[in-house]
Amino acid sequence: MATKRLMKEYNSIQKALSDTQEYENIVSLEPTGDLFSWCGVIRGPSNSPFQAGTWKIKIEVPQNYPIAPPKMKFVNKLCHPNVNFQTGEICLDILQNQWTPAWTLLTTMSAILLLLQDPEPTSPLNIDISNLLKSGDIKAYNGLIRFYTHKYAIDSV
Amino acid sequence: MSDEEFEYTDDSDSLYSDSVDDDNFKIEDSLVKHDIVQYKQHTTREMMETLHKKCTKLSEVLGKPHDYVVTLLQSYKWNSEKLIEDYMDDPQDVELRLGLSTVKLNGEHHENTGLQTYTEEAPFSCFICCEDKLESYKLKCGHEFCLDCYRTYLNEKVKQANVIKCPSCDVALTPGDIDTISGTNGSSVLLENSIKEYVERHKTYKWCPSPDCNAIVEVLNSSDIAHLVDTNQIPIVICSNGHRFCFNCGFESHVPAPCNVTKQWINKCKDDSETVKWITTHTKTCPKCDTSIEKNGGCNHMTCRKCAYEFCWICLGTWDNHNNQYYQCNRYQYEQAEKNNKSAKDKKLQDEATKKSLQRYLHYYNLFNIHEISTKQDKSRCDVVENTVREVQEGVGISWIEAQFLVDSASTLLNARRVLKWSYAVAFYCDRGYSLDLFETVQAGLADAVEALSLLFEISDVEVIAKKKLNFLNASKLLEDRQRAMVLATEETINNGTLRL
Ligand SMILES: [Zn+2]
Ligand SMILES: [Zn+2]
Ligand SMILES: [Zn+2]
Ligand SMILES: [Zn+2]
Repeated sequence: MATKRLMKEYNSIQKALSDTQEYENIVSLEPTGDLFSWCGVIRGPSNSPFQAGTWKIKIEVPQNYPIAPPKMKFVNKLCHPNVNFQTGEICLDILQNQWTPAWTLLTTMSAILLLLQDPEPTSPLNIDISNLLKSGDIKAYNGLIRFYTHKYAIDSV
Repeated sequence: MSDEEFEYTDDSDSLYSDSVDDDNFKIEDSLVKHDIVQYKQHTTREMMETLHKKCTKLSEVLGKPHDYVVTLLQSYKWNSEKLIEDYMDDPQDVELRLGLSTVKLNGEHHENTGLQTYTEEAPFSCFICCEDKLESYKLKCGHEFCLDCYRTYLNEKVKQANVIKCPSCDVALTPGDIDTISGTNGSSVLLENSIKEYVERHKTYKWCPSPDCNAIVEVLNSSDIAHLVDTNQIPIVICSNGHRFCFNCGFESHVPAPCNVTKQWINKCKDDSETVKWITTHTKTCPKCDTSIEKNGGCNHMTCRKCAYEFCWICLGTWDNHNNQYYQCNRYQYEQAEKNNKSAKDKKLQDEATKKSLQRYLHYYNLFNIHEISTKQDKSRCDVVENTVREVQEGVGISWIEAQFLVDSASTLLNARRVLKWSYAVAFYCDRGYSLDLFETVQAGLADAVEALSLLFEISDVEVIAKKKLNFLNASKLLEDRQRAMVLATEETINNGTLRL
């Protein structure tokens, strides 16, 4: 079931990335090897502490995609309340129980970009940065993220 | 809308508020005071039927189709009061929120919903699989997907208990949609899972913990359970398949051990399981000739096949000591342990205490475990004997009533051995003293009677069994008496404040 759909997604992704401004922070999104493992690269949005960083996202597509969601994981370290700093796991509802076949790999990448700017502190995977955010110390929050962005996400890809 | 809003513990919205007679299930039981827990037995199937009845009633009240009400109620986790309240308040809001709105969606109105068929020349291009297909299903939102994709989607979703939504938007699928798409009774699978969730969410319901049993027990005086447990009473219930379990622990009946003893004992056994793994072996060697002996039945009176030496499986001592007087092997030999510890002079005091407590624990664990294993062996022996007798009867044409004593004896044996088993957990948490002496004497008597009846089930010759009917009856009677004495002795011991948790 998944192959044709992934082929179609592949075609539309290349078109969307080159033709529209909508996905300006998605640098690339391509299969590696077969159609069931992909690699995506995103750029930190400007006017965010992630600015200037680039992150690689490893994507595993299950056989029953798009009934089941793809598995996505950050490869280089990202400091964010909903991302596990050690493993790169992402806590995002659409990657779990809120997934529907209406999502695509591309729109899911967009959702991850949105999550960067709009963290969900109630379901933290990184307690330290989450607590900074909850305490309202935005200066420290941005500072710490900028520090890790420069340490792990400059020239990383 | 948080989940908590749906939580309610009062019985007012019980699925069975208008259900049948209460006294139906007050089963006479000499062991447990059954009136302390008032309960009803249910089966999943019966709960489904009651739910459907409830939906029919509600569909009349709301003037909506049955299917529609099922989905509504399912969204409300079967809390009809909350549903009616919200619905009376603002029906449109409820419908929109749950994806059940019948008004035009997105300004469009899709007339031609349901199953769709296409031709090879003009096939349907499915958004999910991106393939050309001939069959599809369309919901009133206008979203349409091929049947193959829809089926895969439903297979995933029925595993959860939630209302299933359109793969592309929030419109809910009704049981009718689900059944048409799946081509089977997919909606009842979903309903069943929804009931499972309902039972798990409500403190008044519990699943029978017995493996492969999906009977449900509903307790009517659930507010009393906490008090019962606090006062060391055990809220035992019996499921519609005859399994006894503790409603508080959701665990097999642990009479005479109170719930707190049970919990501590189970945790202790879990923690120490590595240490005692060696005990659980099913084979031992004959203490006389060293022949390896496998334990077949549940009886602990062993006879070596090779040298005919009769010994006790628990203490490996000669059975002679066990025959005439009461079992001694259930009594932890304190004097012996004392001696052992004194001889280890070079050890620190603390070491001795640890060792002593471990020895003591191992002693009771060993007994507990032996009877757990024996219970399983008893069970298979009883099954074999009952089956053999039934076969012979069918051949000869004798009525089954004649052999009812075997069924009764088997259940007496299994219950009594379980009581004996749990009495060792109680003994472990008891301080030594006068009442423990009494306790252990009664315990030894019970162990004796258990083995006596268990031994009768080792007979495989049907004719001999028939001749021994009176022996079965007498052994059962004795066992029931001693089991009752065990429960009383435990109560006495606990009331004397001898329990140390
Ligand atoms: Zn399809
Ligand atoms: Zn839809
Ligand atoms: Zn049961
Ligand atoms: Zn209990």
